[in-house]
Amino acid sequence: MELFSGLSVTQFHVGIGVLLFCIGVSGFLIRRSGLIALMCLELMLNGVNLCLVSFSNLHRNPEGASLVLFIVLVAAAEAAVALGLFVAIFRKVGTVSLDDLRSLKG
Amino acid sequence: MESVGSPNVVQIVLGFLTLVTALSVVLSKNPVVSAVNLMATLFLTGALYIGLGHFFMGAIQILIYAGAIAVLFVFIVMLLDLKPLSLTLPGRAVSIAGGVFVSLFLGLGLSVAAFRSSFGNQGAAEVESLASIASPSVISLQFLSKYHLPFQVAGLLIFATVMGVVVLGKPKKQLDQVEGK
Repeated sequence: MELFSGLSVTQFHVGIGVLLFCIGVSGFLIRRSGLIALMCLELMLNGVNLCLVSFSNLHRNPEGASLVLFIVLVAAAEAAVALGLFVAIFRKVGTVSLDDLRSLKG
Repeated sequence: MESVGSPNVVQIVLGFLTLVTALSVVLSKNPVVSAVNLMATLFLTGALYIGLGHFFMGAIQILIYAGAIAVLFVFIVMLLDLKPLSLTLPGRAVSIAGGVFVSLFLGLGLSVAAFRSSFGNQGAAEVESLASIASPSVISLQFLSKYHLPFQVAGLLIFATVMGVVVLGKPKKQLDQVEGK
């Protein structure tokens, strides 16, 4: 725990948020399942949210927290549409693997 | 609870648990394990918000993210009955290398920027108390004044989402009946 005594609370939380975002990016690029890619998208949004809340805490400004609410709302809408799409695709094609879904490639 | 000073033990443990569960979302073969780990990540992030003093955001995070979105993921993953997909497959080497490279590059750059910056050394931050920015009344006042138009547009977005998902979820036969074919 001595390792983190040189960091401020904001630095620590922004660092965690940045690492969450990067884990999300790597998962989005590495995994081939569409559902896992969506989960990684949520991870990225979550990292950004954590940064926004800690900056809002640092500057004592409520706008960061308001922005987080909007992001949560858009993420909920996006997750609902994307999961509905994947269910429809699974019903028709039988897979949600992003490598196999290439019918738009021509 | 203040922005000055170093993080306490609880925050450090919660932060590391968040990263560990996030990593296991990416690395576990079984999609159900990934979805449950995603739920844990979102829950722990809510706990981090509460540790920062943003109780309202923590409650929203746990209610909406961990309670609704992540459960929706678990539900859909179990509904589709997906087979566990191996991480390493032939022909995926380029994409795996790209993912690791991009995330290392981004992570190193952004972490250095975050850890070497002078967050927390600003004098103006101590003027207002945390209660004056993190309380639900302050946030809802913003929604009713400054962000009124975006708030309404967000409602429209949710409405469009509901309509779109209903159309997506219907079998084609029922849609044809609606159109009178």
